[in-house]
Amino acid sequence: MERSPLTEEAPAFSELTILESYAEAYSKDFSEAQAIDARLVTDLAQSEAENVRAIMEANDQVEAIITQLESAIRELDSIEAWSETFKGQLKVIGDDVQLIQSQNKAMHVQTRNQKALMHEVDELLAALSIPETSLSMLREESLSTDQGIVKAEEAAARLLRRLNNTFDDGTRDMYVVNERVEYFQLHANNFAVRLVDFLKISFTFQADTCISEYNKSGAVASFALNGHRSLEESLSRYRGLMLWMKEIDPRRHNELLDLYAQAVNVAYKQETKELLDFVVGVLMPKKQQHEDTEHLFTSTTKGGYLPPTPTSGGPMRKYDLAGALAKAVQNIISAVVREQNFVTDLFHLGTSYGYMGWIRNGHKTVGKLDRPREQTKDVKLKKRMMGIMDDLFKGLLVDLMASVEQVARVSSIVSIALLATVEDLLQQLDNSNQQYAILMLTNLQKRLANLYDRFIEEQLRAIEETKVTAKKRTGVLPFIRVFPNFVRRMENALEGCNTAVRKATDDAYAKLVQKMFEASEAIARESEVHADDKEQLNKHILTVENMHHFHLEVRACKVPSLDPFIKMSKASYDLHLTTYIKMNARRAIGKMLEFFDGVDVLLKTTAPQEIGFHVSYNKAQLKKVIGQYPWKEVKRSIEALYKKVNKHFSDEDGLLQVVWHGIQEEFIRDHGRFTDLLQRCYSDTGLTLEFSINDLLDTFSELAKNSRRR
Amino acid sequence: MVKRGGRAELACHKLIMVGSGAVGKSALTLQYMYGEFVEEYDPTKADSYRKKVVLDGEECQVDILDTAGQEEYSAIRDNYYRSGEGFLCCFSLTDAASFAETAEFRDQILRVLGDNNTPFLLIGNKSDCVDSRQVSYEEARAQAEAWQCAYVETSAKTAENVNVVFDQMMRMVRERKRTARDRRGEAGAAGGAGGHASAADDGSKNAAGGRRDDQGKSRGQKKGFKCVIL
Repeated sequence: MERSPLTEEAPAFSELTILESYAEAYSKDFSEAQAIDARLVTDLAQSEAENVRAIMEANDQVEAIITQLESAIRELDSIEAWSETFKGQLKVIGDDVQLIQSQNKAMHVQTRNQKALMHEVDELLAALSIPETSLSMLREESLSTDQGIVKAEEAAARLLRRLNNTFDDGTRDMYVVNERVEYFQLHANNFAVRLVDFLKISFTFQADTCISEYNKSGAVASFALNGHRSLEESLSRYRGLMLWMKEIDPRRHNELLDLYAQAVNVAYKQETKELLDFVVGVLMPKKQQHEDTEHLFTSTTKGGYLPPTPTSGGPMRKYDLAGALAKAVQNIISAVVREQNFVTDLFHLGTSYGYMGWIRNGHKTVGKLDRPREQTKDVKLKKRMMGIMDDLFKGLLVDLMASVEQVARVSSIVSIALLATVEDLLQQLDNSNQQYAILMLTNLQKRLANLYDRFIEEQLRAIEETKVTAKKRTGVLPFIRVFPNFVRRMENALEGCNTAVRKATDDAYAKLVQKMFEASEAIARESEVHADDKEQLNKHILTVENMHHFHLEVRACKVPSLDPFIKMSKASYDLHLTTYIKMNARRAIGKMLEFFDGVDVLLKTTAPQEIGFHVSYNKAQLKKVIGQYPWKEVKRSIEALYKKVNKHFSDEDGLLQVVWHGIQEEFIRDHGRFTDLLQRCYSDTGLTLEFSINDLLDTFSELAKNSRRR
Repeated sequence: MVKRGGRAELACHKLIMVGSGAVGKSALTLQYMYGEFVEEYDPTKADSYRKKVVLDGEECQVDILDTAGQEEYSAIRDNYYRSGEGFLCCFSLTDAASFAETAEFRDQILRVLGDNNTPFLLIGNKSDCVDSRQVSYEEARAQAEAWQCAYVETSAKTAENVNVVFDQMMRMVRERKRTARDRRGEAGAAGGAGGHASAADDGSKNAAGGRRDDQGKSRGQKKGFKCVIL
């Protein structure tokens, strides 16, 4: 039992183990050996017996198996024969199946093809057919109602869709296709013809309506055009059909454009002519000549005085009228701008969208018409536009030019206001699509600038001529009187303007002022040689009066470019006023002035006490000079001078006071200077002037008291 | 005279700026004439200005004599005082002395014209200079009341009340001319051609009578002015 673990450890050697177990058993108990031996013999005998028995039994069974095997082989042979037969038959069937299969496939293809063909034919039929209602709409639907237009647009879209169908080569050759396409084209063509006929009448009708509406509106009275709103509104409805036409028949589209231009040109021509005629008529007052002399220089003006501008209703109205032509031109240019935009939108010029898209996306509204638009880069379109605009406004530039010339002949101020407007408009239109308006304006500008230059030349010449023809050589000279009015009129015409004409005007002012100063100087110089002016005071009176007037009036005009001339006039006024005063004082107390002036000079090099030793300035000389001016004489001189000054400055009350004030001061100053010098240089002589400061002041007061109150 | 016909139709009111030196007479004048404020000081000798204006819808001319403020001798002013129809007597609110001196100017004007009814306005200029003010409103108004004239404070710099004083002065001048004309008309009708002297006599009596009238009026105006200033 102790070995049992061993047996478990080496089961592979079980036989050996058994033997060993036997051996052990033997070793353990030899007694058992006999038993084992016996057992072994029995076992052996038994197995031998069994073996013999088995051999004997096996023979019979083999026999049986062989028999059965033979029968099985037979069976198998027969099965093989059968399967051969089946195989042959199956092969036959297989061929048939293949045939059927291929036939089946072909049938499928055929079916598909037939279906495709069906579809194709359907499509073709759809492409080639159009509801008769659509066609009748194109033929008969009213084009004057909104509803009719929408229906016609839809029908036209349907027709266009058919016509836009592209067929492949084969289909295109089909008789029926050709026939149908021709049929559609016929309808399209018929509709196009109908549309052109209709619109042609419509254009003319609308243009006529515009003219009569303009006449009714009374816009002309405010120098305006009435615009073509009703025409625009009415024709805008056909924009869809215009686009259809553009796509389907560009030539007819062009024809429509021409027809439109022709019809509308009639309206514009009539309207602008009426406007311009009216403006020109208004601007041509009967009494032009008189009114112009207030603000223009004329060499024929007689006398030195011109009445100042009356400011009753008349001239004020005329001020407004100066802008009338400018306003008219402004309105005409606005019309040109608007028309170009409208015609572009109406006929879809330079656009790329198609009719189908137009219909799909809903109707596009007209763009903003009043503003200039961006410049197109399309050179061809630009040229075309110019052509169209020229058709639309044929003759306008000529009419405008004629009006300008006509008005410029009578009122240069008007043409300057116009020039300012034209330049302003050009600035506004710069870089825009409005080539035609720009061209017109440029032409006007050139002409007006030319007229302006000529006008200034004339004015300069007129001033020049005044120099020769002026009869009266005192008082404010005509051109000095006129200039502030001229400036005011010019400034009024140029209000708010900062274009080229502003600069030109400043230059013109400078030229005119220079010429005026020259002329007044020449006239002043000439007045010196006048017989009755021995004292040569006229020159100063004239200059003082004129420069004073110039300074006063021109300063009030507030034109910056004139500032230097205002200063110049002030300086000239001061200079001549002083000279006049001094000359008059000299006349009253000349010798005494001379004497003391000499003393003054001498004092620069000589001590005051030594002046008396100078031969020309000794006591005797002093006594002589003082003796020459007894108070009675001086007083008489002052009184005479007062009368004279009153006469000299009779036209300008204010100036009289200024001048007399100066003369009084001059006398007082001189008196003070004389007394001072007497004190310093001649105190030992005991000599005094024959009159005191109070004598002078009393006389001044007396003169004032006796003067007639003005 | 014929050639001046055009202008003669247009009434011309002759105003005179008086007052001490540097109170702003020229500045007021230039502000009124050109709407400009001229800062730099350049003592005036005498300057004459003329301008066409519309006063109460009526066109007229105003002639302004801007005078020197600092002459040594007042007598030389006599002559232009004689030419004046209305006086704008100015002082500077920042200079008490200039206020005191207004009395001298007034006295001289009254003496030269011999007429207490001459349109006269007391004007305190430089009202914008609040900090350096030396003359109070009450003081100046008391003075004006004593003189029975209106008092207005102006600023040539800010243009405050500038047009007001000139317009008011022109109205006073115009009014005075109208009554004078009416009086002459009445006197002429009553006295006839022979009584030139008596007509003048009449006129002066009327003037005396009218003085009270005018004073009453000027008080009324003063009230109006107070409203403007306050």
